[in-house]
Amino acid sequence: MQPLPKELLIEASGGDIGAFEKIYRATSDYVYTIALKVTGNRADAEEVAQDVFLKVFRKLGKFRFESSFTTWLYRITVNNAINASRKSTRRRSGQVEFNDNIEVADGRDRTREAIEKEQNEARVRSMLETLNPDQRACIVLREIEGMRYEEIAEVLQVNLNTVRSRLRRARETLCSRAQQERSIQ
Amino acid sequence: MKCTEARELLASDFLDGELDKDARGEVVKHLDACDGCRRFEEAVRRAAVDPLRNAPRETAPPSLWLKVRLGIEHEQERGVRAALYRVWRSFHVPWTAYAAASATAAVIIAIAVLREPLTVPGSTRASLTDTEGLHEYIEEQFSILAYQDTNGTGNGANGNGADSVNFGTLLEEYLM
Ligand SMILES: [Zn+2]
Repeated sequence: MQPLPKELLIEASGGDIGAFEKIYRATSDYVYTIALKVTGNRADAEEVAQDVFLKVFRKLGKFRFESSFTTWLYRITVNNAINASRKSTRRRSGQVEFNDNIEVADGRDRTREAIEKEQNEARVRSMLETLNPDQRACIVLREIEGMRYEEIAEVLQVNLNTVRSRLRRARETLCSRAQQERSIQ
Repeated sequence: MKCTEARELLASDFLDGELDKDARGEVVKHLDACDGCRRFEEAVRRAAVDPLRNAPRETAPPSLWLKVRLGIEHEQERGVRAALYRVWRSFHVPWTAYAAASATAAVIIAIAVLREPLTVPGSTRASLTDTEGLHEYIEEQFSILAYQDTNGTGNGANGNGADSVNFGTLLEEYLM
């Protein structure tokens, strides 16, 4: 996520909906991606993203520019996504994503590329499903957002060693899952 | 460097480019000499890193902005309504306030009525509710009576002494 101009943030904080839409356009894909990777389904991800932007609009007036806006936005997103993930029954039932897959599979003219993309998405989703929400958030910020440990620690408000150990545990879990899969095949 | 130490770093700082040049050099040296750790590093990358790092960014659904905008408008409307309600509330007096005001007024009137008989017109102290004032009033009355006894209606030794005595109202003075 690129840093946004301070003037734009100030305009939006005064209730300017046009300025706020510009912020939304610049950040919504990042917010939605994190929400989707952490919650594991599109319905929850959309709800999370909507809540995040409403919160941002509501609280922007009180934002003091002492920390970076993007760090603040990441924090709200991750916290909301973790909470939604803990509460949601959709991930556990797998219902929503199953229906999504059927919809895609019904399409006639799917290219090889599209099929591969789908398979990769399904793989990533099932990988992340094996992790707990805290590990998931940490690994998403590292691997998908490409953040350094210090940035992750700032977003999650934990210390560097917590970031380190969450990543290590998450990777251990992913490796043993891959081993199990190989032994089944 | 031991294998356990190397593997800890291989699953975190080394993999994520968080090590300084010297520490990184140490791990690379270990990898050059240890087949087991090399295989471990490959396995971690394949199973836990590459699929995630290569995952494309999602695009937010087009309907999302509409929902956010509607949410904002809804909140703004609610905010206006709440502000209007606050203004209305500031002018509105609840019945309990009326009741409290009436009760207070009744108590004040009751006190005023009860205090009235003890008020002495022309006295140096308007109120005689306190005992000190009462004593003063009684002493004053006695001293008047004593003065009357000695100078006025008493033995009549000094006829003009009666002129200086205050008998109360003008009507009383006329009748006497
Ligand atoms: Zn080794």
